[in-house]
Amino acid sequence: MDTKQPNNPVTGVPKQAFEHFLIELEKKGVSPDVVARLKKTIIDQGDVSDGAIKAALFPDNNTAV
Amino acid sequence: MILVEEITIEEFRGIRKLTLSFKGKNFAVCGPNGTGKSGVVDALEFGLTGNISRLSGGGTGAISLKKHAPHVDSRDYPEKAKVTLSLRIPSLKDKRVTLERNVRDANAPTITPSTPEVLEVLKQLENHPEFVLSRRELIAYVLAQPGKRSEEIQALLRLDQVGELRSALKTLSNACSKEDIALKKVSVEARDHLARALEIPELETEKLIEAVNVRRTILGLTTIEELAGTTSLHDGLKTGTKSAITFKVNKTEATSDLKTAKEAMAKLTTADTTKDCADLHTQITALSADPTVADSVSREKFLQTAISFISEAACPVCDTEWDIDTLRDLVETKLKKFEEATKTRTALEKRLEPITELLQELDGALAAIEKHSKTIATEHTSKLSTYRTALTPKIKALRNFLPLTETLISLHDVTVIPSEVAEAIAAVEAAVIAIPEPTQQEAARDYLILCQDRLETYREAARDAKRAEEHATLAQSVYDVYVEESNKVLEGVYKQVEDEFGGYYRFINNDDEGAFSAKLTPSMGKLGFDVEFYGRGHFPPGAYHSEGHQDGMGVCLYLALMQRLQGSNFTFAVLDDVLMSVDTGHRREVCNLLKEHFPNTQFVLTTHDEVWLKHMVSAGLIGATNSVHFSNWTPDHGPAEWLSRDIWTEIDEALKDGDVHTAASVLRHYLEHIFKDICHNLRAPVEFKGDGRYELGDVLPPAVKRFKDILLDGKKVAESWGRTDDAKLLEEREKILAESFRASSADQWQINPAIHYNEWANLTAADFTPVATAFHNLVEKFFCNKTECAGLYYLAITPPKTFDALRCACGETNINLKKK
Repeated sequence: MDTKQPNNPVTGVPKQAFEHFLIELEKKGVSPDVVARLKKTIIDQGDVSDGAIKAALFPDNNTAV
Repeated sequence: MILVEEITIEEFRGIRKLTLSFKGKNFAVCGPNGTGKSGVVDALEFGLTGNISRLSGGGTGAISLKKHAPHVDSRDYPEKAKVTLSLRIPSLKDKRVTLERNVRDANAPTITPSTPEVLEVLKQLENHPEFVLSRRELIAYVLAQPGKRSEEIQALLRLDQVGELRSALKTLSNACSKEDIALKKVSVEARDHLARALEIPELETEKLIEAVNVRRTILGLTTIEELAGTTSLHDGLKTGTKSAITFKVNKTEATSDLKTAKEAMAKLTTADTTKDCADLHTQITALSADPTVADSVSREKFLQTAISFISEAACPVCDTEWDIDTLRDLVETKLKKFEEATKTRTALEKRLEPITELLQELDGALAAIEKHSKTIATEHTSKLSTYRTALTPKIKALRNFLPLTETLISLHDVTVIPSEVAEAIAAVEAAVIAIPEPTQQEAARDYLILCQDRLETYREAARDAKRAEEHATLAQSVYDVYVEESNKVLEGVYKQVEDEFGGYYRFINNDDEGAFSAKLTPSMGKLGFDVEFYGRGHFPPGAYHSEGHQDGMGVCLYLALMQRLQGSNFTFAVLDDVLMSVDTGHRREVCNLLKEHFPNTQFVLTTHDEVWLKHMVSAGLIGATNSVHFSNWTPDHGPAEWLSRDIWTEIDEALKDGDVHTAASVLRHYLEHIFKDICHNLRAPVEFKGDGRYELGDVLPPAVKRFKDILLDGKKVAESWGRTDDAKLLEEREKILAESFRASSADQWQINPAIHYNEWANLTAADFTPVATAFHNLVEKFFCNKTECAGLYYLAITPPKTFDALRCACGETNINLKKK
């Protein structure tokens, strides 16, 4: 059974910081897919854990990291 | 957010049962230390969030909400400890809500009505428990070290997620970087392996094609013109023939391996390497002979290792939570003490590196020979395996550097290769030579098969290395962008807070610090806070400003942060004894700040200073009836309020029980309290005491005298206006007052010690009863006799000192003091 508590969507100053970050990532030429996955993970799901960020950046999981 | 209309507290902390009616407005709780003020604060926090931060924060040890929130006599009945709040929600058209929460089911309050929109508002409140500002936070905001302040303010602004994401991105970036380095090394090794098989000094495409085409021509295969990602070096070679050689060892490969091994042995045993090892041995021996230096090197190496393991927001040893940058800064600061040790160790390690690499190279080469030996010279295999087994700890010791004793042992004979190894190699070589020479075509076929095999290995390693490099680049880039952007946002937030804070502080200190400014300076994991000091520059708040000014700063900073965090939702705050050091001159401005800048915020303020309470009332921050004044506290009854009606009932009941001691104590404390209030209201001249401790004898006679004078002044003014009836009434009141005063015997205290209040506790109940009755009669003369008012009389004053009238709150009494 999955006992992981769902995270709340991010609000306030953190949301502001994350949104600026994602806009700037796109400007720097980072793939829109990566940016979209990061948005879903950190803003919509409010999940900033190591595992979630890794999965958002490298979804094919072909890294030993 | 919410406004609190009423709170009922039962069996909670030091309170048995208490109901306070806030009426959705500012409210003050006043009383000496230990009278139950904090119990009210705890009840508000518990009622609204289900938690008491004082019982759940750091340093609370074995104290817990469940065990210690109930009153001590109800500690085994947490369900009895409950808080009931009557709330109003402005954002829901002033909807009324009742919230009841007991300690046993702290997370399951009963909410009526529990509509989704009400629950949403209450959930927001649970998520924002920072509505309570106590001295702990105040100190943390203003006087704490920058790292601690950053933690506190980040927690208040909910910035933990900002830090967590930075930590996660840093961890990922570090891990990707490590993988990149490791896979690059594997790729380089595979490349060298391929070059050796190709028998070319450097792996270059042209040379590879040239070497391969020589063999392909021998075999009659078409030459390769270019090398693509899928090019097969043995393309066209007859399938099903892996190797033409019938022997178990490929002579070409074995010959190549033997050559590599001999070269590695030769490099390790050159005169230069031997000399280097001897020199290093001498230096490290000298180093280890000095225990201080050796200890420094050990500690320095430990700290360096610690830094390399800091990849998340916790200590890598004990998992204690840390801000990642703060922890790294801490270890780096410690490391600075060992700069000399760092230089010494780094220099020695750098010189050991080539030796370690030679040993690794030899070990790898001997591994290949050992493999051949197992097939063609089995009796010699153990010589090689024994040496290699001995080699492994030597390599490890030299790479680790510490402990020095092991490094010295390894260095001692590292360049000496046992003769058995040379014998084994010679034996394997002899066996390889004995293998029949392949024909030119067989050699070419073996060459192509071996090279293709190694080319595939190299291609895979190169692909992995490229992918790791891309990941590392992306992870680093994402981290850099995040740090830059989040810092920009935080700097913007801090700038706004800085401006608002400065504005609030100037508001309350406009008389002497009208040009005040502040600087909040965020850096990695820290938040500097400097304030301007009378045009002399910016300094930490604790450097030159007084404690009172620091208290004011703490409140202003809190208000600025809350304004930034909650904006229009900042409707409720508890200021728990945080203004105790603000000087009298600035209290009115503090009250005005709260009134004018936060008109939609309900403040509950606690103070042990009753003068402060008076300031709050007179400044209009607190309504005349919107406060509670605790007199004392007992475990049996909890806090006792200064409510006149209850006082006389309490005294009567004590006397009925024959408890003169309690009755006398309550009467004396109440009279001291109420006559201080009367002196204040009537501006009675009282002999000044530096310690501010006024006894009954200090305040009662001046209060009575002042009231009598006011009544007589009122009489004269009435006469001047021709209102003789009023004049007569006032004369009568003055006489009644004088009679009550005489009846209390207070006028005899100076000459008759037997009736002094110090002796009350020694009287019998029969003797003390008339004393209490007399004082009851006297005190009543200072109150409006209308039940719905029952307020103390006070002087209406036109500043600075024109006494206009003596009034009560309801207007029933209005004695004119302005002559015609």
